[in-house]
Amino acid sequence: MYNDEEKDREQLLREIRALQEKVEELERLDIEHKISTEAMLEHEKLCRLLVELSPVGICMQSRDGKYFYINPIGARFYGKKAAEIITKSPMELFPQDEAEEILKAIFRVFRENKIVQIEYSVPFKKGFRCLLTTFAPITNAAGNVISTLSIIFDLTERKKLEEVLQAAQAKAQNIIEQNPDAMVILDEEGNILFLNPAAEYMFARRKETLLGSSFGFPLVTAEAAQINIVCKSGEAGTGEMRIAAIEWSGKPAYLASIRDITEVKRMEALKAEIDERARLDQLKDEFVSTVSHELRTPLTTIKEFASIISDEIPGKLTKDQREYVGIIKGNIDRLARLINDILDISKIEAGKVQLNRAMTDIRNLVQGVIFTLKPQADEKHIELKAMFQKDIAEAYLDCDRMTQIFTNLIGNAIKFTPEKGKITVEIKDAAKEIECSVADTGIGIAPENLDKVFSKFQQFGRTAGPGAKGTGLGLTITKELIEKHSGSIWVESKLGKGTKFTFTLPKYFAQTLFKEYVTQRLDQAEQKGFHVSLMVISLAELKKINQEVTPKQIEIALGDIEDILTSSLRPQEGDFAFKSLGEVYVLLVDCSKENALRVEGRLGHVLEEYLDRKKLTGKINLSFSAATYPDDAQSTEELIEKAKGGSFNE
Amino acid sequence: MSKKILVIDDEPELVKAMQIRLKAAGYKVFAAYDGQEGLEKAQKEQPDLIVLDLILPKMDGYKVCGLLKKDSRYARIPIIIFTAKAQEKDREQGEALGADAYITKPFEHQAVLYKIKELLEK
Repeated sequence: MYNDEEKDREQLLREIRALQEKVEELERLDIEHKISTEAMLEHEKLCRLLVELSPVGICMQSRDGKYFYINPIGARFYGKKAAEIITKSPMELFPQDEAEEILKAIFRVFRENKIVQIEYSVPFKKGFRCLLTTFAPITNAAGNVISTLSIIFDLTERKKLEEVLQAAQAKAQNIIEQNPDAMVILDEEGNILFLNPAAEYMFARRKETLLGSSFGFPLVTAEAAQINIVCKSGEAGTGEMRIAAIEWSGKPAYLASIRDITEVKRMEALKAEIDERARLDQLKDEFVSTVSHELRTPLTTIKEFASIISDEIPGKLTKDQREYVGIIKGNIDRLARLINDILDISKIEAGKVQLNRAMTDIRNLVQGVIFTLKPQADEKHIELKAMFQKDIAEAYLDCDRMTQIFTNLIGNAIKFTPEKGKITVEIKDAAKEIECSVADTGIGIAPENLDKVFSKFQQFGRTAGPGAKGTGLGLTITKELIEKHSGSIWVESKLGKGTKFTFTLPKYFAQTLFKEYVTQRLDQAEQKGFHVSLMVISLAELKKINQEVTPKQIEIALGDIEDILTSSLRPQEGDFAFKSLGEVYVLLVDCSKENALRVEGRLGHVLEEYLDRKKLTGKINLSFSAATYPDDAQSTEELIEKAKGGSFNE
Repeated sequence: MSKKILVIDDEPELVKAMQIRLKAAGYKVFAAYDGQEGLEKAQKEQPDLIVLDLILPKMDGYKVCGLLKKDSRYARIPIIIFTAKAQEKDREQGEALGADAYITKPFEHQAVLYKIKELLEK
């Protein structure tokens, strides 16, 4: 029995001990549990705080997308308060498109148990807020998704920055793309990394074929280098290349910019050529002038001795000797004319001929030439006459040069017109121009030669016979001189019937020219600061006073007065007398009001003497009026106006 | 008494031709072959008229003309400029110096004789 009792007691003790241990364990566990619950509570509080304070938006949504939690920053991103969002579906909060996007993401999270990220924008105040949201699944113990936890980032600022950056890049891109200079970016080995359209254009190759290829020019950053390029027209040109060291995508690189300077080079070359040509022209001019001088000198001696012999100063000549010396003399003259013509042509071609134009009586001029050439025409019994259309009297021309023109044309006509022919010089009024023609009944020019008549050294249908031989330069000179006068010349001819040369001269109106002249003087006066006086001597009111004087007499008197005035003025100063209808204008350059008054007195005296001499005193009365620049008037028109109206005596 | 003419030209043969022509016309002729000599002869011989070339050794014709025309003792002597320089500016320059006539070479001797006669009769 004892043994059993003993056994039981031990068993019990064991059981108590186990129980004690269990209690102890339980007690221990209870403490631990208590601690854990507290800790967990603390932990949850911390988490919540973290979530609430997070700068990142955090929200939780159920299967149907309704929010059951959102932290304050998340709510702020949506522009609302948390309370306005909780229990709401995106459909109630956002525009349809964005709401659908959010819902689609949530459905995917639930369906696929995966993290989904979307970017969308929601209206915010006046603009938009751009948000990046990451949806994460939250699962239960069984592994089923029971809700989503989302983290929301606000990308608005970043987007704005990106836009600014993009705009800046686009601007830079635009500058590079639109730049007329070719721009190429190269790596350190000289391979092309980038090029703008101008570069494609300049190398005449597409971007694709150039990128990555070797540039082929040395990369020296020092000075601009000139390289050969293909320019716009496809021709070879010149480029000016500058190289700068830059950084490209974080690596050292080179920027080569190439400017097409083909045009600049071309202009430079052209200028050099023009300069050189001017220099050569100058040389040629000097050469021709020297040569003609050198030729004239011995020619003069030859001519003198030939004429001394032909004049029989050293002794009598035989008939034959006289004839031969005559031939020598004729050819000396021809040579002399040739030298003169060559000098003329060279001057004309060098643009050195300056016309000295004035209003000239063209009738007088033509009649003068006819008078000179009449003996030659008479020799061949050629009838030489001039016809002038009424109203044409004056033309604006260089008297010497126009004489040369008519001498050439009429001289040619005499030369190519057979005995008893007829030469008609005609001056006609052709609307805006004065038309002059010289027609002959000569041998004519073959049609195939007509366009060559104005070329140098072209002589056609020359018949051996009397008269001076030509130089082959006359018509070339004539044409050039007419063109210098802003006119043109042409020729009509019928073989065996005759030839007619016609040329035009532009009409200039004396009034316009006078005004132009006054304006020029006023410009001078303004620059140099002197006075210009304009005086008007008028005869206009005479008809009323006296019927004895005919308009013709007045016209003659006006002409005479103009001549008298011209001879008493100082042309070297620019003084000028100009006859108009019933009055004469006198322009006094560098002449103040007081001086003009003195001139008026003097001219008045001279003119009174003239009237007295012509027995016109009392029949013609002169009235003086004047104005001075800049005292009375500032412009030509004003000066003329004031001069006609105002008198010094006022 | 026949009138005295001084011909100043560096071309001796042309001077000879002039001498023949002018002597035939009844004038007494002196010659000088450079500007310096011309000026001296003009002062020494007191000619009634001078025929003067422009391009001359030692002193050019412009200078000779200018000096003579500025000097009251010789200013009255008519000067005919004879030159192969046919440019207008040469003529203008000559006229500006007070030359009485300007004849370009080669010339017509009739024109020269006429001009001389006209100037001597003035």
